[in-house]
Amino acid sequence: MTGVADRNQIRKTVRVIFFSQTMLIILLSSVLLMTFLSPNFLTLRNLFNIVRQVAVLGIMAIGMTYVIIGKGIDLSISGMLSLCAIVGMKMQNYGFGAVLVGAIFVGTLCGLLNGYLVGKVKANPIIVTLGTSLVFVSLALIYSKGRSIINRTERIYSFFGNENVLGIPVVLLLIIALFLVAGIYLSRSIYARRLYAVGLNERAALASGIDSSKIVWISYVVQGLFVALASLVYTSRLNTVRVNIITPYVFDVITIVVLGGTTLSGGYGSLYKTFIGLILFGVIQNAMGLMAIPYEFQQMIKGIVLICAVVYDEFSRKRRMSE
Amino acid sequence: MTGSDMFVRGKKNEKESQRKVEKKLSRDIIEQKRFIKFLLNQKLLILIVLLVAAMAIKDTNFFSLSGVYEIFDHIAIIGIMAVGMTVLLISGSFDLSIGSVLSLTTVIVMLFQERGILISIIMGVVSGIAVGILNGLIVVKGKINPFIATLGSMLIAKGFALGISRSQTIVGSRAEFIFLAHGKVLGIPNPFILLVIFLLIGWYILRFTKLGRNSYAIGGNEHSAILAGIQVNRSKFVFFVFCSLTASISGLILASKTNTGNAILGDNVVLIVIGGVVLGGTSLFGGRGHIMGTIQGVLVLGLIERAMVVFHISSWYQYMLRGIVILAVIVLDTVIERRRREML
Amino acid sequence: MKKLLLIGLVLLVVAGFAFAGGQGTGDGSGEEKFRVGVAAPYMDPPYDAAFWRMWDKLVKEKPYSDWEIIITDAQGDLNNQINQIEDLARKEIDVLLVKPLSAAGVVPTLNKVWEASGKTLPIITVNLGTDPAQIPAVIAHTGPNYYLQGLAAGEGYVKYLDAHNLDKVNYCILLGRAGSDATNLRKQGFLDKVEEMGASDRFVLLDEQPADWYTDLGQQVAENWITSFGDKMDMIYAENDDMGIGAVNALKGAGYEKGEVLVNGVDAGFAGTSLVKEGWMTFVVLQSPMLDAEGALHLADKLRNGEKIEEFFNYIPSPIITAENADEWLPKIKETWGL
Repeated sequence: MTGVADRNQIRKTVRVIFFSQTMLIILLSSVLLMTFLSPNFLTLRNLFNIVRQVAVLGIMAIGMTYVIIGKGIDLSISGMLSLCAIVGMKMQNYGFGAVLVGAIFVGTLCGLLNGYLVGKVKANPIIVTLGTSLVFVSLALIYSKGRSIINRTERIYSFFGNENVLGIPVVLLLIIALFLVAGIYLSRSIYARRLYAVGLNERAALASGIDSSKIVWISYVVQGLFVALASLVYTSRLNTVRVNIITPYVFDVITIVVLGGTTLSGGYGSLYKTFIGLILFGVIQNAMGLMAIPYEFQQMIKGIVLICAVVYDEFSRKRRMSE
Repeated sequence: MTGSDMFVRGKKNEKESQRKVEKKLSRDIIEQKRFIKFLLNQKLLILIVLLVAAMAIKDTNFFSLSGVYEIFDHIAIIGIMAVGMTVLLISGSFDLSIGSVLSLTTVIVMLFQERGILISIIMGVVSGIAVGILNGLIVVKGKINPFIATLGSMLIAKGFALGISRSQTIVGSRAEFIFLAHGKVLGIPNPFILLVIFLLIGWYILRFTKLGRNSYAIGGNEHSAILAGIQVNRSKFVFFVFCSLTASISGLILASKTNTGNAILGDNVVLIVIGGVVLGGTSLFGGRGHIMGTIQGVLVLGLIERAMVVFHISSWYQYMLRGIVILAVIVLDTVIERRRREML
Repeated sequence: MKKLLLIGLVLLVVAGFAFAGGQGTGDGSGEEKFRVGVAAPYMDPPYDAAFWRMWDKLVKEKPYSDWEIIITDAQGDLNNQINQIEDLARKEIDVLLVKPLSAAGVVPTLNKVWEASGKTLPIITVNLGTDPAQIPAVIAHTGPNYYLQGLAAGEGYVKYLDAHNLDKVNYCILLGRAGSDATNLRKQGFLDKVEEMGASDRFVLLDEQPADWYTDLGQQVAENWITSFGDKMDMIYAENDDMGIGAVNALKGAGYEKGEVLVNGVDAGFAGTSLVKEGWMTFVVLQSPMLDAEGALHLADKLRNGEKIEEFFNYIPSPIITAENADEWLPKIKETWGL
C-alpha cells in the first residue's frame, strides 16, 4: 500500500535535506531564537548593521575559501589588508580610480608572493604566510610612518562603506555580487574543477596532468585580489586608516569559512557554504552584542559555537554519506 | 689448471678488485656527499653560529657566561612549549590553544596564591591539563580537525580566564614564588634548568618510548598505524594533554617572572612556538621531527630577538627582518628537502 | 658521530666568546656617548605612533642628538618586554627608560636588573607607572596619568550635566583593550570622580564593552547599542579618541543629530578635537605625546648633567578641551601630534 512507502519516502527526503543543509538550519534557528530574545533583532536597521559589520570579513572569506579548497591556508590577510588600505589611501590625490588600481595591484603582488612560495616552492603555508604577514605589516608601517591617513570627503570614498542605494546598503549589494560571481566561477569553471582535484588528492591530480603548483598559486592571487577589494570597503567605512599589528581578523575569517562547512583538509567546500557561514557569524556576533553579553563570555561562546557547529557538520556529513 | 682457467680467474680477480676499488670510491663519494648534505642540513646551526659571531663582534658584553645563560633563560618559556608542540605535531595534530593555556595558568596561579604556593601551582597545572583533556576529547572523540578544535578551545580558555580575572591583572602576594623564575641553582637560572629537563623528557619520549614511536607512525600514515594495531586514539589524547601540560609549566614560569596573572599574556606565543618548531625541521603534516631541531629553531628565533637589540634595529624593520628570516629558512628548508628527495 | 662533532664545535665557539668576552668594554666606538635604553611596549597604536614621531623630532636637536639611543619594541607581549629590559640592561647604558606594558608585570624584572647593576642603574618609568607605585628600583616616573584622566572625564561630564540642568543620564562605556592598565584606570578614575562629586545616582550604567582602542570596533559596539537601547541611551563614555570617533560614526549613520547623545574622547588628537569643535563630542581629555616624550627626555638629561631628580612623580597635565577652548587648542594639537 502506498501509505507506508510514501511516509518512508517523506522521512528520507526530510533526512536528506536536514543533513545536507545543516548550517542553513542552524542559521535559521538562531535567527528565530534571536527574534524572541531581542525585539530589535529583526529590524531592517539591525540586519543592515550586521551586513556592514561583517562586510570586510566576508569579502576576505571569498578568497580564503579558494585557498582552503586548494588545501592551503593564508594567515597573512591582516597584514595584506593594512598594506592595501595604506597604499590605496595614499593614492587618493590621484582620484578614486588610482585608489582602486593601487589596492588591487598591491593585493595581487602579495598574492603572487604567497602563491609562489606555497605553490611553486611548496613550502608550508602556515609558516610562509606567517612570515609574509610580518613583511606586509612592516611595509605598511614604513610606508605610512605610523601615521593615520584620513579619507577625502568626496562621496565616492565613503560610498561603499556607509551609503545606501534605494535604501539598501551598497555594501550588501557588493557582497552579493562578489559572492555570485566568485561562486559561479567556483562551481563551473575548469580552473575550479582542477582546484578541487588538487585539494582532494594532489598526487592523483598531478597524475592526471594538472599543474598543481600553478593552480595553488592562482588561488593565492585570487585571495590577494579579494583582500584588496575588502580593503576598499574597510577604508570607506572607517574614513581613517591606520596600521594594526594584531588583528583577530585572520581567525574570524577562517572561522567563517569553516562555519560554513568547508573543511580545512581541502577539496571540499563552496561559496554558498561560506556565505551561510558569514551570515551565521554575523548573527552570532550581533546577537551577543545586543544581549549585552560581557566581552569575556563572548569569546567563550564564539569558541563553543565553532566547535559545536563543526561537530554537527561532521556528524551530519557522515550520516549523509552513509545514506 | 688450464691457461684459460687462469685467464678467467685472473679476469675474475681483476673484476673483483675493480669492484672493490669502485666500492671504496663510491663509499668515499657517498661519505663526502653525506657530509655536504649533513652540513646543508645544519643550516640552522650555521645560522646560529653566524648570529652568535656577529653579535659577539658588535658587542662583547653579550658573551659572558651569564649572557649565554640569559639567552636560554629568555627562550625557556617558548622552548618548553615547543617540546610539547613538537611531540604533537609529529603525530599530525595541532594545538592553537597553548597561548590561552599559558594565560589561564598565570591567572589561576595568582588567584590561588593566597592559599599557598603549592596549591596554586597544582591548580595551575591542573587547569592546563583540563584544557588538554578537552582538546583530546574534541579531536579524538568528536573527530574534529585539530585546527578548529583548538581554535575553539583557545577562545573558550581565554574567555574563561578573562571571566575569572574580570579582565584585571592579578598581582601576586607571595614573594617566595618569584624564586621559581628568578632563582638560580649553581649560577644557572631555574628556567634554563627546567628547559633542559623538558628537552630531555621530550627527547626520551620520542626516542625510547613506545608512545614516541607511535607519534611518528601516526603522523606518517594514520591508516597504516591503525592497521598495525597502534592505539591511535589513546596516543593522540596523551599528546594533547602533554602539549597543554608544557604550556601550563611555561605559564608557571611566566607568572613567576612577572609576579602577575593576566588573560592576555599568551596572545602572541602560538605563532612563535609553531614558528620555532617548524623552523627546526618538524613537518606540519606529521611524521618528521626531532627535539634537537626544535631547540635550534627556538634558539634561532631567540637570537634574532637579541640581535635586534644588539644592532639597534628600528622597530618597523624588525618585523620585516623577522618575516624575512622565517621565509628564508623555510624556503631553504623546502628546497633542500626536495633536492634531497631527488638525489635519493 | 658527525652531528656530535658539529655540536661540539659550536659549543666551543660559544664558550670561547663566553670566557673571552667577560665584562667587555662595549663596542669601542671611541668617545663616551650618553647611552639611553628605551623599552617600549608597542609602537602601532595611534598615541604611541605620535609619541615616537615627537620623540624622533626632539632627539634631532641638541643636547639629545649627541646621545646614543637604543629602542626596543615588545609588540604587546609582556614576555618580550621583560626579556628586552634584561637585554638593554646588559648593554652598559647610562639610563633605562621603560614604558611598561603592565604596571605590575615588569616589577620583578626591574628589581632584578637594578640589583644586578649594583643598584646603580637609573630607571625611569614613562607613561605608565609601576604597581606598587613607587619601588626602589625606579628613581622617577613621568607621563600622563590614566587615573587622573579618568578623573578629568568624570568631572567633565558632571559639570556638563550641571550646566545643562540634566538630572539623569543612561550611559555606556566603550572600554579599551580588556585587561590593560589604561583601561582599568580610566574607568576607575571616572567612577571615583563621579562618586566624589556626589553624582553617582545620576549616572545609570547600561552596558560596557571593550573595543580594543579601535575605531571600527567602537563603531560596531555603538551600532549595536543604538539598536538595543535606542533613545534610552544618552551618553557614551569612550576611553579614547578613536573609539569615540567610531561611536560618533555610528550615531551619524543612525541619523542622530549632534549633541543628542553625549560622547567624549581621551587623547585629544586632531580628529577628536575637531569633533569637539563641531559639537559632536562634548569634550576630549588631552594626552599630549609631545609633553610625554619631552618629559622623559628632560629627566634623562637631568641625569646626564648629574642633577638629582627631586620629584618622583612628574605628571604631565591632562586638561579638558571643550567647545569653548577648542579653537585655541587646535593649532597646538596639530603640533603636538606631529600632523
